[in-house]
Amino acid sequence: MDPFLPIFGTAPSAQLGPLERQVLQAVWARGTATVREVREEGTIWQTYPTIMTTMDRLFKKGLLDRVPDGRAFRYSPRYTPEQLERTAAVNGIRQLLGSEYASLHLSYLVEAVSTQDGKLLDELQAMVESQRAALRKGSPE
Amino acid sequence: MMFVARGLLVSLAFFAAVYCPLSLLVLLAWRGVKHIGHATAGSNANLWFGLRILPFTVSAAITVFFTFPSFWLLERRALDEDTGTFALALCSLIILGAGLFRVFKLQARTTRTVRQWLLAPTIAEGADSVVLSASHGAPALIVVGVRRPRVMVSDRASNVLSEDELRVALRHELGHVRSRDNLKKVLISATPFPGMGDIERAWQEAGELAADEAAVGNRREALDLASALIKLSRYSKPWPEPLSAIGLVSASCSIDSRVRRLLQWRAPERRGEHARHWILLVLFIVILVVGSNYGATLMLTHRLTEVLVP
Repeated sequence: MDPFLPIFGTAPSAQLGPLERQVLQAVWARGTATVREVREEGTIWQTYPTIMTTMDRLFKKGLLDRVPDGRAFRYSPRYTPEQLERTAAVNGIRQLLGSEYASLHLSYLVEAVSTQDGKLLDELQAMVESQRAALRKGSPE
Repeated sequence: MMFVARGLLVSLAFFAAVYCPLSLLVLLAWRGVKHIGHATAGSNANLWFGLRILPFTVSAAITVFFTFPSFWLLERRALDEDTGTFALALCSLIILGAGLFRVFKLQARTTRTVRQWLLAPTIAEGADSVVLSASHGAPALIVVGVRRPRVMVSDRASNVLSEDELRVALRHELGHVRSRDNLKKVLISATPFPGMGDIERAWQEAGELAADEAAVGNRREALDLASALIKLSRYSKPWPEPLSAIGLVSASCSIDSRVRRLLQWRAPERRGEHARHWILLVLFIVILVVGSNYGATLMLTHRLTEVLVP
């Protein structure tokens, strides 16, 4: 099963807690890290057991790998931030379009895209202008 | 005093015992009726809004007009409430508290955002129109306010739109004012229940289409509104929702579908008015029947309370 699906079913920010995201960022920044190293980095103001529990949870969610390192574990990210974002976005869109409100979601997507892409608006404007011209020529209202 | 407190407790418990199952029933009913077509977008908007607030309206009306009076008149003066009653009452308080919190948050956010949009630092008292600054992120046209909703126009709207387009765009916003959509938005926020998002979105979409319908009286105006929508959506920036405000270019309804609908504009049939008269007539008859049998209704409510509230 796709490991992202249960985690990023809707949106990453909605499914990962703030501390989980912070820890994941710290591991991405270092490449590999132990709990002690994440804590000593100074960006996360949490106790050792809290960080350990969070890293264990990320491992169980399939987002971190780990190997024994002395009496502790050394964690490494299983996916790059880009891979994670891409899969989350693809899964999110797939889920939206697979729901019973697919047409509604699709229209929202079209609207979101149309703000970026003026082509659709140009097309609509041309249709309006053509009907206006027809109206000016005396077509019935 | 204790008896009054007990009456309030039982009434709150009764409210939760009716509100939650009724909301679930509405969600079930919504699955059945959401694909039913109606004569106008306005009647759709009214139906979805009515469905959305039905559980709260019915529960609150029964609680205020029947449950508390029936408890007051028919309950024996003793102090023997179950823990289940306390749990249900707590549930009611959470629902009502969450509703109030959402409303205050919504209002505070609206006030803060609109203040950012203003060209001048404050709204002049008694001013009929207010100019917003597009460079401050303001939407082109927007209706703000609940008790005294007012239409606000940005400098961009007046620069980009022709006189006819601006007139019909303003009529669209006045359509929202007439149907009191901001008040409806606040009422929806005040009556939370999980899973109601789909009905709320359907209401917002139908509300936009209804305002389009209300603004347009002939084909020329339909084209003017379509053109205004296209012009403004080229410049529109996403603005923080949900606010107790409704803009012309809204995320709740696709511009594409609105423009295509306007391009196919036909003079509407006035069937919605008849439906409204029928609803008012039925409501009047129900009130008349219940009012003339108030004593029996109180007895019935009292028995129902004893069944629903442990």
